[in-house]
Amino acid sequence: MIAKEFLLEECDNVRTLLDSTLRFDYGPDGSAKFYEECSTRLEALRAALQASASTDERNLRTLSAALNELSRLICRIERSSINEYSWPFVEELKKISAAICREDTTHASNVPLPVFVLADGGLDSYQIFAERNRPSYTVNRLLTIVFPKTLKNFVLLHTILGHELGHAIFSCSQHQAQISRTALPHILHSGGQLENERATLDHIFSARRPPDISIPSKLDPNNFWQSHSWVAWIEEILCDLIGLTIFGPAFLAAAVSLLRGLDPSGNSWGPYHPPVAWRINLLRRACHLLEFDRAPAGRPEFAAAFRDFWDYIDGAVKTDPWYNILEDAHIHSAMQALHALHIAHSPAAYLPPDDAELENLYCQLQRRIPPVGFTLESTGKVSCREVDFRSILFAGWMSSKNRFDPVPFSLANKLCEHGIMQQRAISMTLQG
Amino acid sequence: MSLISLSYPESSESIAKDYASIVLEQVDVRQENRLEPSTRSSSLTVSLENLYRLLEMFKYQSYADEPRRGVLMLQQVNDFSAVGAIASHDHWHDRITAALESSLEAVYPDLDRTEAIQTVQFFLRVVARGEDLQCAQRAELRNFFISFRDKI
Repeated sequence: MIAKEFLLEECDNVRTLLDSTLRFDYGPDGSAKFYEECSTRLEALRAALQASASTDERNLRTLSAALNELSRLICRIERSSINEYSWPFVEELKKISAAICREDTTHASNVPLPVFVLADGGLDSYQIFAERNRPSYTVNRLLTIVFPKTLKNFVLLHTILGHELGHAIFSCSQHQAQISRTALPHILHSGGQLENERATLDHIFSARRPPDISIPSKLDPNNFWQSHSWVAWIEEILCDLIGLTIFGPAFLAAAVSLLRGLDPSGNSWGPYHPPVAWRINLLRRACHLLEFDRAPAGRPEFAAAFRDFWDYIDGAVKTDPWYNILEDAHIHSAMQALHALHIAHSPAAYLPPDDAELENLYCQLQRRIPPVGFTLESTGKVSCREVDFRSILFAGWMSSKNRFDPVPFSLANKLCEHGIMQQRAISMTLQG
Repeated sequence: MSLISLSYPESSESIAKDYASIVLEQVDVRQENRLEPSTRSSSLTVSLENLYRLLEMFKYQSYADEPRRGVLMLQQVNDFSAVGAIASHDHWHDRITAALESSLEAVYPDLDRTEAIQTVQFFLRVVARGEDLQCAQRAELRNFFISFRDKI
């Protein structure tokens, strides 16, 4: 009896919280749709509680968990404030999310998942949390995008969210089916290190393992997958490839900086994440196969900066073959399959800029001005054109990593953030 | 330190069963007594949406549904008392899938799988709009969810 009464009272408390926060227009896009969503969830929970027997402890425990989560969700949405994250980057990210993170509901087909954004502490807080599909007390599934508060304007690093978009995309049933049919078979190909749990285990414990890989003495092949999730490892690898398909080389640069920043050796792994160096080596190889590193035409300084960028990346690549977990043909096929999915949901797919465009953006950055699609013609006339924000970000990475005259990383980020915002204005003007 | 640390039971089956019951109640309500979509209960809204979503997962056989932690969470496994806590394969859907499969076969023996699922989804959309199903359609939907509810 105690639990049911207590939880029903907590429903009233959550209602008070909800009404005093999200009922009023809150956040940059307003909070009406979130208020309505949370309100429906709360009343469904209240009805389920009222219908529950006081002695049904299992059911009450489930409802208690759902009520707790709803209370946390309301507080997270309330904390979503435009002052805490890079608005221009988020607007572009939302365009991609709205194009591909869609699902059918009872009232319409292809409905974009509602998104809200917040900042949190810790470098590792980068996250896009997609609510589960399985039966729960939700109406619409919400996407929560989380940025590290300390990296508010670091748009070059924000490209790491391509990986997180991967999880959100994979959580959409239709996409999951397509990816499972077209991309995953190449990652899990027969005879490969990722074919199944056994094959991955054999690779981890193989005698060919580099000496600097240390496995805790309590872990052995018989208990390894009891404390690590092979399924999660595979999804992480898949989402790395999706991130690259969405953001191109800027994604790999962010992955190198952040992953090696948090794990300088590159040899660490976690219960849900495979070794860092496996991931970086795989992404680097994929970039090569997609010809992202093909030497560009253009002035020698530009070509040198392009090489410097890839040298920066290659500095994080491990040469021991143990770190290469997929063969080229399978990487290429998996990337093609993912690209096909993204290209069908424009603007989700990364399309490399032509050399002249990339050089133009790079040169603007070197002059310490925000990179955008414009040309000052000899007549004095300014001509503007569309530029994808991912090209701006790639140019930003090149500028900050060139050896000749590197733009300080913090400044490169600010310039790119301004460039994305100005490009948005240019695009609006061009589109009338 | 948190006040309490709890693990919560996987409850998809019982929730799906409850939702099937809630939808069945609505199907049996006559049109003139039915509430408009804007005033109907939150429970019905949530039930319809969740069952529709479940059928989407079933249609595409897409059951990978574990929320993943951030891209950079690299904490090592140090607490080996937790060994065994991670299940590589999540079987939350096994009984639900079996119940959906056999209910479809019972109600729509002559339709192919996708067609049968889409038929049920179409009916759910009609109910969600607050519109009336034809007699035969109502009987099909009733039979489907009675079978599903009883088989979980």
